[in-house]
Amino acid sequence: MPDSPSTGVLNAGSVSVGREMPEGTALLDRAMDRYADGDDSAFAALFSGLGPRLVAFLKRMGAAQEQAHDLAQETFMRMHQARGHFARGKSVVPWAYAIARNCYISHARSPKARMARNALDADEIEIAGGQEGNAESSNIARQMAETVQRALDAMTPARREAFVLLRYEGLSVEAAAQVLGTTEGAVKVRAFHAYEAIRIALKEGETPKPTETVSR
Amino acid sequence: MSAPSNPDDLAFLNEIPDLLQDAPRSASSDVVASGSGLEKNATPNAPAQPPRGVAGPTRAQLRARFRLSVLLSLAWMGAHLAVYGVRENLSLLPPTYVLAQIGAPFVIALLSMLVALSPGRLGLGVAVGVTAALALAGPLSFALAVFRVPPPLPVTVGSWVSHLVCLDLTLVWMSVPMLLFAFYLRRAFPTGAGFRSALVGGSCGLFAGSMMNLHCASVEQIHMVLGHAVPVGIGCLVGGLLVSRWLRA
Repeated sequence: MPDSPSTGVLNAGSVSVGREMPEGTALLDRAMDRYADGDDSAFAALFSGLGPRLVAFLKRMGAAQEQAHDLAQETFMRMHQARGHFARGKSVVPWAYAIARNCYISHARSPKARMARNALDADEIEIAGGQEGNAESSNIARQMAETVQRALDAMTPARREAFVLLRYEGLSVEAAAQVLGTTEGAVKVRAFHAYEAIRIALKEGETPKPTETVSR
Repeated sequence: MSAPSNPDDLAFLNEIPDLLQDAPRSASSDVVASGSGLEKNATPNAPAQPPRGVAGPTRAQLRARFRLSVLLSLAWMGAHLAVYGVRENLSLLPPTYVLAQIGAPFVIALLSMLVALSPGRLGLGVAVGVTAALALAGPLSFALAVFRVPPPLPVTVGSWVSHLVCLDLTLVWMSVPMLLFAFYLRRAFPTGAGFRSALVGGSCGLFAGSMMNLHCASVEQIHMVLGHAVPVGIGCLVGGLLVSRWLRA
């Protein structure tokens, strides 16, 4: 599986998801520090650096395209309201993911706005090199991605979020455990079960039965 | 793709393809900030400003709020203690009793508040196991101290009214610090809000409980549990179940 290029977070057009970029996250952390101290001009850097990652995270969690954008906006609103509580010198990425997760859970729990499952359009799935490669390999990659998405949709949110944070958002086990408010052992077990479900789905072309419940 | 031999080594997760690998590139052009908030479908290079009208306090403002919360809480407790007075039999109590009933709850209250406010290694608070254990241990230790340390003086059996009076007073004493800290800590906890809020509530309860032990001259165990310890548990529950909604980021 090819890794996406790491070209810096603050350039909004070239954010790589699923891998930690130490220099990019350090810039974001400093921007958040300035923002927490009342420097509103740091918001632009934060927004361009975190916005795409949050949208992608929320989509992977199961939000549909429009909902992911709405929830990302709500996440920034909450970050804005909570900025003074951001601890100096700490990493903003897990902090933002934790807030985004709260937004997602609040939204998913509300009876009025029940989260529509992210039925990812085929057009929405972008496989690296898919447009430049031949049609057959692109088609195979697309089918594989659809299988992964179906397996993710079918598993419990607890497993899905553990897997997404570790595999796609590139958090450490410790950071993922903190974001999810659980222990490192529990995160490993959840991610392992998620991996197993996806592996079986990819191997056999089957997906587990949906067992959708939202847990914090 | 084969089953991993060692589940602790999470490198096998990378075998799963990333279906949204390029998604951020397209997403970034959809969500940007504008002067009045966050808007969709603007250009990625649009000048971003924080949303107006919902400004959160800065660190400097929060530091001021924290000092105000601590000072007002101390003043609130001190004023009540001054009005109601310190227990008359304080000089007759053995040091171990004073330590168990007044000193220990005060120290645990401070510890609970420190743990609740601690950013932890990653800025998301102390590990959930520690906060959960301390949230439970605070009220329990207060109640256990009543039974583990025998009454050092002859017990005078109190009425239900006296239990209720102490219960009411402890709740009132606890409520103002809890409100002040809820104001200070609004949206402070992105993770573990339930347990960390329970720690804040329990801390306020323990603080009020130790002050009540300093004021109330009763050494009757049932009175101390119903009048002094139950409010600590209530503080913990109110913090964890109600105040946490206000404190969750």
